[in-house]
Amino acid sequence: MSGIDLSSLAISWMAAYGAPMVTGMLYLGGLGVPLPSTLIVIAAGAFIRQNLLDAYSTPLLGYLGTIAGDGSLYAVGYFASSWLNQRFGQTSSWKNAQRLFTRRGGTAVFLTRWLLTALALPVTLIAGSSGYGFKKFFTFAMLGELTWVLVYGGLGYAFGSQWELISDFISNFSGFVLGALALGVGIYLLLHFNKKK
Amino acid sequence: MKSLIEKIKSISIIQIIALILIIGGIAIMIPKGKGMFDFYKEASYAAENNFQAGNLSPDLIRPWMSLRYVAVAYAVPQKYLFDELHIQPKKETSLIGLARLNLQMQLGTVDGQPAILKHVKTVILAYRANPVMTGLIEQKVEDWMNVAYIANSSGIPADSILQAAGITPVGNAYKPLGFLSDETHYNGGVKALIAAIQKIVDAQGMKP
Repeated sequence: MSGIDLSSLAISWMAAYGAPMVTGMLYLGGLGVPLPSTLIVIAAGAFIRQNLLDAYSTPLLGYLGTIAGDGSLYAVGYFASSWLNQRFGQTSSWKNAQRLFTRRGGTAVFLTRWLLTALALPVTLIAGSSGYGFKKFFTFAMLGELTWVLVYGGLGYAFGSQWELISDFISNFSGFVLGALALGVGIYLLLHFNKKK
Repeated sequence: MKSLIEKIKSISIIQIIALILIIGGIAIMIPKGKGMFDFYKEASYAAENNFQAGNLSPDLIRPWMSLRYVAVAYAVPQKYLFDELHIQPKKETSLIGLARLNLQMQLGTVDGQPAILKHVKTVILAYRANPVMTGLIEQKVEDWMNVAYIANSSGIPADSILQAAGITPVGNAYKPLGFLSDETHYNGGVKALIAAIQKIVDAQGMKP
């Protein structure tokens, strides 16, 4: 099934089953199932504006669904940590990644909830498996997901019947930011390497 | 040649990763940046083409428009569009973009555009040649509708609706009710305007 087919299916389910379906899909999205979660949030905002979904229960349940998904995925990382540590724990790159995550983990968790959503899955798994505190993780995840629901759902609401247009824009924007991040990391590595040399 | 091979051999894994990230990053940013630029063109499309003046050319239909958007912009009853396009009138089918609807219906493309665009154009022209009253299938007047759409669906002339609601008929038929109430500072806001129009539709309009 192509991504677009899945999007259409998700929209049909939202329209047919309302807020509980939005909750279920956002939970699965938070858990790492490749569902078009951002599109679901934008469409939910637009459908609330068009009186197809309830304005109170949809954002609230959707938000709860997505943070529950984050928590569950963290638990997966947490329980897999012994295997991961056994497998990679002695390598310097794993130790470096852990150290880096302890210093900058909050920013990474926050940004990957709403801006760099493509990286949310690995970041959550690393958080769970690297011993990053659950309270800290959950606080940043809650803030990030709140931003995600408010900004993207709000844009869907504001654009109403033109929501497909804003959905395209956000998809392009997220891709652009991800590309810029890759470019930045590439330049950093190149300069850092040359300095060391 | 030999020195070039030596140079290539001296490139480390880190440098290769860095180059892949730089090239990959640029390769992603260019099309995405173009897509973002296109958004600004499309977002101002309705204003640039003066949709509020009405009597639009069917050539102005775009893939991101939903059937509801087309119905209001062209003042064609949704029921007519559903029937003529052989689409099941579900809630979401009127809210998703034509491109997505085209994909769901597996209609393919014509001249590089979703085929449904051509079908919708044909249906609009057919409606203009022979308008059909269907009644307001939505039953209730809502803020996204405009008076021209309500008029064509219910069979009550747009001027009559506007006059009964206490709004001058000139240049207001194609403005969505939410926008119209704001612009005219309608007493009681959009809810009062909707209630006034609902009263007229209930009293004089054709039932779906």
